[in-house]
Amino acid sequence: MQPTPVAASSIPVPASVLPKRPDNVRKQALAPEELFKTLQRSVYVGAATA
Amino acid sequence: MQGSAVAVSEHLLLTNCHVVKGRELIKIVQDHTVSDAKLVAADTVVDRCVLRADGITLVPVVGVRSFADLAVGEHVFAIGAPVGLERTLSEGLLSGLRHQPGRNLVQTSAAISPGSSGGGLFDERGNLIGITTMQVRGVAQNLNFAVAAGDYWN
Repeated sequence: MQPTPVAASSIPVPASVLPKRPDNVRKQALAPEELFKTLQRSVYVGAATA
Repeated sequence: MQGSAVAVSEHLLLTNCHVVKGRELIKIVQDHTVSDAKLVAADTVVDRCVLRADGITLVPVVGVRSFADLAVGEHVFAIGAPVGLERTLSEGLLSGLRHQPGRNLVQTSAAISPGSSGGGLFDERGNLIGITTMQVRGVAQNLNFAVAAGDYWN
């Protein structure tokens, strides 16, 4: 009996799905309060369940 | 499992695979707004995963720095949801730049706790430099690590 090949996972690696890397790199330091105001909308809670 | 994720486009977020891998139902939450997300890319060996949320327009970070451009001693900030406390800000130093097979790690003294995984580590200018991923507990203090953010594009 020949072993049945198991299909490899079809999920790609990150680099293959991501658009161009955000490259508008800031040069000016921000006060912590300003940094938080600027970034807080970009960070999410992630919840995963079976 | 609860962790964090950082938007890098209007529909894509970076996170850690240990937060989402093998889970069928994935949600992202901000200010009590809950949106469905799905895993669209994974490199589990190095703990880099990407989520897609189609039902919401995300606010992406505007700058991501390369690991090669980072320097020990930089002032850094972590934003995540340690023990479920949404958008908690902590600060510290970039304590070390570590190379492991297949991945680069940013060591920091900025506090990271369970639930922080997948959150953002930023430089003092607000550029994303890492995705917070783990801490060493018990034998040391302030040994926290982020997967280099720029490596998600490599």
